[in-house]
Amino acid sequence: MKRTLENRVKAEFSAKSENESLARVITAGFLMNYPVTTEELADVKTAVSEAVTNSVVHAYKGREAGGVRLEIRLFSGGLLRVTVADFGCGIADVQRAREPFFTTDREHERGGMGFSVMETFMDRVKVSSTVEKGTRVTLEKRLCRMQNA
Amino acid sequence: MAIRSEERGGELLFYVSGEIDHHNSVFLREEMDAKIASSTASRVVLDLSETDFCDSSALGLILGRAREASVCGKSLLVQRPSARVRKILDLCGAGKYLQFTERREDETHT
Ligand SMILES: Nc1ncnc2c1ncn2[C@@H]1O[C@H](COP(=O)(O)OP(=O)(O)O)[C@@H](O)[C@H]1O
Ligand SMILES: [Mg+2]
Repeated sequence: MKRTLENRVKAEFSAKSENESLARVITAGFLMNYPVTTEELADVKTAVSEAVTNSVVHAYKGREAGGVRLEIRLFSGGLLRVTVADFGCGIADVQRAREPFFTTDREHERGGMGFSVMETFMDRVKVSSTVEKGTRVTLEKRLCRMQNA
Repeated sequence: MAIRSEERGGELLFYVSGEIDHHNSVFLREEMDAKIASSTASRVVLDLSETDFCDSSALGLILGRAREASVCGKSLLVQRPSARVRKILDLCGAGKYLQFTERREDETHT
C-alpha cells in the first residue's frame, strides 16, 4: 500500500530551552485535529521533548547557538513521522549515545535516558548524525484509531 | 510550571504542578536546593500529583534532589506521581533509588 501525505507542518526555532515547550505545543496542536488517544498524544509529546532538548542541550555546546527544525508529517493509514534536526556538533558514536545512562553532560544532571525514553514511547527511532554538521532524529508512531484512514 | 513549598511536622513539602522539562528543571533545582539546605526538617516530600508532564529531565532533577537531601542528612519521598510520570521514573530503575508514597495531602500529619 502506498502511503500518501495527509498533512504536514514545519517549524524552525532557536535552540533555546524555552522552545522545548513550544515544540510540544506545536505537536499537540497538529494532532488535535485527529483521533489520537490521550496515551498516544502524551507519548509523542514526550519523545519530541526529548529530541528537542537534546538539540538545545548538546548540539551547540561551546559554540554559537543555532536553530532546531521540527517537522511533523501524517501519512494515510495513521503513520506519524516527526523529525527533529539541528546543525550543531553531531554525534561521533550514535550507537553508544543511544545506550541507556550514556551522557556527556553528567554535571548538569542529565540522566542519559533521553533516547531510551524516545524508544519506549515511539514505534521507531532513527538517528542520523554527522560530526560538525548536525543531527537528525526521526520518530515514528502508528496512530491506532487511524489505521483505516 | 509552578512550585509551592511548606514546612510542617518535621517535613519539607514541595508541590510541583504543570510540566517538568529541561527548561523548568533548572529553576526547580535552584529553588529546591536552597530550601533543602536551610530547612531543619528531616524529610523532604516531593508531591507530583499535579505534575501532568515530564520527560527524562525529571529523572535527573529528582535523583539529584534525593542526593542533595541525603547530603543534608534528610530523606526524600516522592508523593503521588501519575501513572505517566511513574512510568518515566521507572524506566531507569528509579524505583530502586527512590521511595514512593500514595499518601494524600490531608494525611501528611503523621
Ligand atoms: N542533537 C545532539 N547533538 C549532539 N549530541 C547529542 C545530541 N543528542 C544526543 N547527543 C549525545 O547523546 C547523549 C545521550 O543523549 P540522551 O540519551 O538524550 O541523554 P542526555 O540528554 O541525558 O545526555 C548525550 O549526552 C549527547 O552526548
Ligand atoms: Mg537527552
